[in-house]
Amino acid sequence: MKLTQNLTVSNKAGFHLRVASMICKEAMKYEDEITLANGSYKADCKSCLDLLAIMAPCGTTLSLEVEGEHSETIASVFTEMFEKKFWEDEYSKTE
Amino acid sequence: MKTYQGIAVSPGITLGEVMVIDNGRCRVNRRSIERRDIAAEELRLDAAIEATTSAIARNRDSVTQELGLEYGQIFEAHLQILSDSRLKKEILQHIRSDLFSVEYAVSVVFDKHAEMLSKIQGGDLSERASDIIDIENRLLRQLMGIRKDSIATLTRPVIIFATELTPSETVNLDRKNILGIVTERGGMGSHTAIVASALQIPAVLGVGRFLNEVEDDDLAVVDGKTGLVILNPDSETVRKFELQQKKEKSFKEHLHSLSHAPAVTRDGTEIAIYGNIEFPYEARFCLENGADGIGLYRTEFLYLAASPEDLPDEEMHFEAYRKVAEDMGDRPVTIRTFDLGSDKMPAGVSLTREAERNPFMGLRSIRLSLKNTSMFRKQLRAILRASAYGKFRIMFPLVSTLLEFRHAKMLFGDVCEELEEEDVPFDKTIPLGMMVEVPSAVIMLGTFVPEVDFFSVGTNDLVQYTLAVDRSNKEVCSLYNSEDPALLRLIRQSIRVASMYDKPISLCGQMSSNPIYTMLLLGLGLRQFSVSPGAILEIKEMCRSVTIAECRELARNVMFMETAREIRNYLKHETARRVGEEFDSLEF
Repeated sequence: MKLTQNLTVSNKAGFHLRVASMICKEAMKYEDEITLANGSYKADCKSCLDLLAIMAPCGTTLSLEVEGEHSETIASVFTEMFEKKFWEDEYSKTE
Repeated sequence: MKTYQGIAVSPGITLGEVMVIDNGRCRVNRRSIERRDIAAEELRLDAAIEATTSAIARNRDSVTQELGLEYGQIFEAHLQILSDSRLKKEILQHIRSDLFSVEYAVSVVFDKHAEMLSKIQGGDLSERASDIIDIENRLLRQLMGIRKDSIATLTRPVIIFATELTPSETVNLDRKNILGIVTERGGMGSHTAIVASALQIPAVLGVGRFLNEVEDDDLAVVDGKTGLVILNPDSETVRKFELQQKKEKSFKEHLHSLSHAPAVTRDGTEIAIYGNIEFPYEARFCLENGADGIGLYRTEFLYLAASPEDLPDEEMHFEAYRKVAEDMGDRPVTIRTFDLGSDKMPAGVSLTREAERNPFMGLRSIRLSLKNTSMFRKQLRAILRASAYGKFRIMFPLVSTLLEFRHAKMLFGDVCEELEEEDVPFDKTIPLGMMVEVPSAVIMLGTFVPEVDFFSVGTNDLVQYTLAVDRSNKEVCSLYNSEDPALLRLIRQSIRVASMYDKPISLCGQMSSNPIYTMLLLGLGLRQFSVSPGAILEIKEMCRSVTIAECRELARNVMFMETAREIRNYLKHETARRVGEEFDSLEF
């Protein structure tokens, strides 16, 4: 099944190296095809190098596309990662 | 003597000899191979990737253990990039079709990616390219048999000067022998800044191009607080900085020695200093600094970290509150009910789908709790249950009318009854208080007195609502001044009314954490401060350096002044006169 969904980068620091790494690690768990697009740039989520080229400050909306038998699970896992701000607050608290 | 200005990222003064690190990229010449060598080159590539992978993994593990997961993840990401199948495919392609040597193929592929990342606009792009270059250098060094880890093994203490440090260089620093770090590029938030401040190494980054003017063994002074770098200082400058360095060190030791000393003014008035916390683990830090309790426990974090389908349940609240109660023992903990809404509105809590036109005047704090009563009751239940494990006080935020307070108190009464029926133990004498952060509450404070057990002045919101100014709006933020005469009158009135009726009143908010205001607040009659954990010792030192009599006189003088600017200059001058320049936070 093919699924498309918008995800907003809501952590303060934006889409950085550690975020790319976290997403890549998650994507590798599935056989499905997973991509994240920022405007016209589309990154294969199984390539950290690809993800690294996504320049998205806080507030940017990215488009997630999943194709395969686990698309719904993947979409919900990704949504959680974005909404929980990649657990960034657990490290650095805001005053 | 030459002076440079950079970005101060890790405080501390250091003085020592320079070591210039030429950490440019490994240069590789174009070299072709014969077709029959392809297989051998491929084997070399595999071996190099394998060796580099295990080196990075070792780095990741040791860094995670020493500095925490956040730093370790940098290397986890490097591992993922290195194992990216596309990368290897591209390198192999150059070896097979173009007959490049492995070294050359690696450098061509990495350069392409580094350049691409540098080209993309916005964000921390030079940093991303530097991650790629870091991996490339490791791989090339492995292939070419270079084991140059110059800064990992130093023979004497030096200040490192470099164009920029890659993450692996930064964490592999020989910490015993690094006095400071100065780089041409980089800034706040870069890997180098994060690691330097975690290791408490003074650092100044982003100085700009200047390395051509520096040589090994030059003498340098680095001030990680102001961002100043002085090359080959004259003897007078050296003396000045040595003195400052000594002062800073003894001041730090002095502050530390105060952790268990009482906050008493020179004329014997006891002052209570509480900590403001957000996360349960911060309670311990407050105790280490000798706080008299927690004056403000913000509880929003439970909601802000949650997803809409997975809002925190009563047990999660309870566990978080109980931990703080137990950590603090018999010292009081003032727990503030949710201050959600306006800029802090988690999904799933909002009651209306429409965006509020004026959120700071809208459904926030106690107003939201009184509408979303199921959420509010859940929190009150959890607080009351946890109250059996320590000494709690409950505080409602943003109360603007007496009826609001009564309404909240009524709901609180319901929850108490409910727990009693269920035979759940809780502290039946738990005090109920309110934040004073809306001008209407100050004006009517006398009418609140008979029904409220304690008050806490929240200056951040009080400034915003008194001066009608949004601090985050660049056009008007210059109007946002905690020392505005109008605000000081509201604070004075609040303290007077509360003291007249013997009701405890404290002050939380940024104003209480800044030592520049301590004398003024003492002079206005404040005896309880609630400050950020890092400021506890400084505020204590401030209280111990003054007499109430001189604070009263200072406050009297201030109340004659007409503008915020005049007051600020006066306070700055008077504070510096008494405690000197050592205070980190003596800035506006």
